[in-house]
Amino acid sequence: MDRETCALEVDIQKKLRQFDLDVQFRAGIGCLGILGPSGCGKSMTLKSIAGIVRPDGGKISLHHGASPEHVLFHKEKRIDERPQLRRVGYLFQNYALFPNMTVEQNIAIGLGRGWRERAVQGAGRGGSGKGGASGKSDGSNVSGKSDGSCVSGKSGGGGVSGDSPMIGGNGRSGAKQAAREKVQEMIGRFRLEGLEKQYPSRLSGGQQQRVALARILAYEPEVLLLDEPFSAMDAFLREKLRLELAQVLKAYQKISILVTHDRDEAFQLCDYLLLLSEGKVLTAGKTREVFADPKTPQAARLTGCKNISRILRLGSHRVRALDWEGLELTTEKEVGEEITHIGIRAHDFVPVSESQTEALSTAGSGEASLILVEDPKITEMPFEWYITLKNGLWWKVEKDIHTSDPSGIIPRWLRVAPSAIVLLREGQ
Amino acid sequence: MEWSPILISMRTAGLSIVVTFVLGLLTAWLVVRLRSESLRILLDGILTLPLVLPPTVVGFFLLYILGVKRPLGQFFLEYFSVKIAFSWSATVIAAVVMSFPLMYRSARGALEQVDQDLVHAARTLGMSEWAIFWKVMVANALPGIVSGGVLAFARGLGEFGATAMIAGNIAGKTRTLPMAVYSEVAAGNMDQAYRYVVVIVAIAFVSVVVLNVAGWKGRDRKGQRQ
Repeated sequence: MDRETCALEVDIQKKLRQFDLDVQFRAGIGCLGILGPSGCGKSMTLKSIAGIVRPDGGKISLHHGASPEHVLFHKEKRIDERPQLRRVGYLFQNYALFPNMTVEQNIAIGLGRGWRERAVQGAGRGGSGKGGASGKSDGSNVSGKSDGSCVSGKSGGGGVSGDSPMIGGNGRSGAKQAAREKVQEMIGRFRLEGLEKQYPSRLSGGQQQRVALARILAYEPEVLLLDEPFSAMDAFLREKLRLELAQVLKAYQKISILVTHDRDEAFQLCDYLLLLSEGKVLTAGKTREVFADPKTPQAARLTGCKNISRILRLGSHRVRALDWEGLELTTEKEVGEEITHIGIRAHDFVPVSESQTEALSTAGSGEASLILVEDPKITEMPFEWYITLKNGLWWKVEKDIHTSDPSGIIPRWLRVAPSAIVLLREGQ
Repeated sequence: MEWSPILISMRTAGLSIVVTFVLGLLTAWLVVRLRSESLRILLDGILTLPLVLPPTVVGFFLLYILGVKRPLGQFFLEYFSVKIAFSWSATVIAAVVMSFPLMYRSARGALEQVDQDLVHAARTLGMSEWAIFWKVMVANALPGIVSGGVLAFARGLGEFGATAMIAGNIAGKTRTLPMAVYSEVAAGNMDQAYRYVVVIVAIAFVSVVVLNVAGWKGRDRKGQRQ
């Protein structure tokens, strides 16, 4: 993919009331998730990219292929492009649909003069043929204005936005027609047929989100920003809409950034992940890798690791967990001098049967990493038991809804596979 | 019955509400958009002043600025051969200045109530600031703006103090309805004063009803009332 050639580079600083925002990152094609607790500067970062908020310093720029970089913000050069020119789509938490306009009018609002000029240009370069998508428009050999769009090569057909509809005629009427067709295309794509003349207040939360997405994608932004898109919804709707959004993001094939405080959401929707805390980047990388190896205790907590303890290093593969009543554990990875904490996910404990216990203890308890289950507190959830042990560890056991008696599941001993112990080091 | 006060009042109130409406709305937009908090407070104070000052004091200031011996008054007299003080246009100026704060404050309040995310969304969708003002801000603040217009119209119609100072009470020229009521009472013609009072109450009531209905209609069309 063109991850290297097509990217949004962000390096901004801003003084906030409680801390200073200072983030640097690079987002390529695909979805980058910014995960962090409430009020960590996630939304502020997105708003800076969109031009809604002005950072105190730094630089924001878009790179596409061979075209010169498109600088959105540059403190030293005193560049602060108006949001109208940035071509950055922003999905607001409450969708920000215009209550005085119908669904149709909302979607068409971005198709003003700027868009129509782009549409005519697109037609000019795309050659003849009508109704088809413009195929590979990678911006590298576009003559004239440098607005080569960041579309990866494979998104030719499929009605993905970014392909201006081909228009035979030229001038205003052709562009107006293109705008009408674009609205129709979006209404079809986001299953809004029959709702064209409705006002947003009459729509359900899910429909409102689809209208908001249709409105943004009709505008054909270079970057799509999603600000906690599910925070205004109940849990049932949220799961359904996450699946829908996953499809939209997959088809979008440009740079998108999703801000969330929900690790499930981040894991499900994002290819890459950036963990943010108090305005600073903790970790960044491929989503799966960040979850598997969060590197710092704060990052581990953000990815949902329930058990984190300070440690005393006993050997190259042996540690004592200071917060779990001095529990000694064996790790698979070598424990370096710099390691200050370990983490164990609540699902990673394995109950040990009586016979196994015998075998393990005779083999030498030093290697076994056995955990004595003392004074367990059990909480029932629909599909899980939450069990807290006396030494502070959290253990989660899956169950089904028909089970309500936890008596059989509590063993005398638990075990942790050495590979399941995550080594962490406190940030500077 | 002398009809001229009714006609003068209608013309004055009619023209002044048009000027006040446009001026008040645009000023409110300007002030809402100001980034500097201190400048906004200062401007807001100055623009609200006519509302809190006694009307005769406002009239005094107007006379001070627009009197024929004053720089601005002289300027108009010399270059346009227009004498403002004690002419019909002075009744309009007095009504505009006195009703402006009501329009401005209502419009500002209504514009400030518009969800800022709507404005931000409009910007990221490439809408020009002017289009945002009309299609997003005014369209969504319409009920508040209209009610400001109603108040300003009523204030302009009832304007007395400042008008007396700058426009005087010249029968057939600057004698508006409130002036006529005063003059008739002063002259002891209570019957005539009574007829003017009935007219002014009727005009005020009808205009408020008409404007209110227009406001509701506007809201209905925009689908905000379900």
